[in-house]
Amino acid sequence: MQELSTTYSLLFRSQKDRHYENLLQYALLPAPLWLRALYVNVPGTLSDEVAANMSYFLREGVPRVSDIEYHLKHIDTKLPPTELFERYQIWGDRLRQLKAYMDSQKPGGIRGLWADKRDSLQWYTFWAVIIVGGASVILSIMGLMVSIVHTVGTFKGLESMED
Amino acid sequence: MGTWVALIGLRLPGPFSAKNGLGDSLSRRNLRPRELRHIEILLVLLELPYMSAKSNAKKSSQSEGHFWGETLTVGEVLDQCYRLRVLSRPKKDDWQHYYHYIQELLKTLELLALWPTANRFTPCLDSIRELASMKLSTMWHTSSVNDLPATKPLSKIENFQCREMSLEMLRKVGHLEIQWTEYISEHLELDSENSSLKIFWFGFAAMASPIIQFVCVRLISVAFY
Repeated sequence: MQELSTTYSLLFRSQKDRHYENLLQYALLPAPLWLRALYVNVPGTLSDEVAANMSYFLREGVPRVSDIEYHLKHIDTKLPPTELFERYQIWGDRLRQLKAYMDSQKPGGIRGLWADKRDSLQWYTFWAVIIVGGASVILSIMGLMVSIVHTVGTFKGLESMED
Repeated sequence: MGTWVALIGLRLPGPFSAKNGLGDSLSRRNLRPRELRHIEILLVLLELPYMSAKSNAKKSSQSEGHFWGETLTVGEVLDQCYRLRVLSRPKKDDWQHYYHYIQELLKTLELLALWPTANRFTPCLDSIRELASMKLSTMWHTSSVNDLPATKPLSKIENFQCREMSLEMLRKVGHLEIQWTEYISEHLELDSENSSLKIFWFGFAAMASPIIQFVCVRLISVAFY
């Protein structure tokens, strides 16, 4: 059963792996329908608008459901950077499927590219090119403008001397 | 686990409150959450033996004394589900749909806990017809349906980066919709067609319950089908 909690600690994380942001990622999960129906602190069923996701059940000052407490127990444990699939006897194959799926996914848009830090070498190369290239283009445009101003100024100076 | 879902499903408000009968709940198809579907299939299953007994009174004498699980076929149940519009009829040779329906049917049977879950075997199946004519009890003891079309590609690399499996990465890079599931057997199940991933909710209960721990040990022994 230890394996189930290990998968929880793998899942309920954010990029930066800080407590607050991990919690934020968890809060974005949808709230199960039956939890909204059976939530003891409020009579009746919580509507879609009130409790669309888990953030409703994580509010401060309200006791947390024991299940949620259990899920969140693992979000602060330290994880190694890489793990062997072999260590997961029960869910190893599922994780392999997930890995294969994630590898097949290409990030879309600038935000996706920024978030996709799976291959850090590639990530740094890409963003270094963007920043260095962008900066050099901007500098050269500025240089060009300065030289245009310079040339125009010189011609104007020449004209005034001829007068 | 089945028992959890049974308890939860029956306590759901709306379609299953005392006022609404089966017919009413069936007509509310557009409001139906996933949990209710198993209960609807269950109702079909429980009514079916009586209906078929009425329609062919002579034949029923033959099957009398036999438990319906041993006499009903997968095809009969699915046909009835299509007729009552609990499930929509798939196109011919649409394995994906059949596979999905068989999974739903298995989960429905799990609610009843009729047969022990251990000792499933894997026969070879070549066609949908073969599957449709299979008796329910045979299907239950067959695990082959689990690995028919759903053999998703497995990563051949031996290790993975932990942060790759975080919710944020799964959402932002994998564009996956994360759902909760009440079945431990569905934990981390990936549906690449609908790009969704399921996470088992009852981790706390599973820690406390020796039955679920037993199921997990069984899962290892079957090496996930």
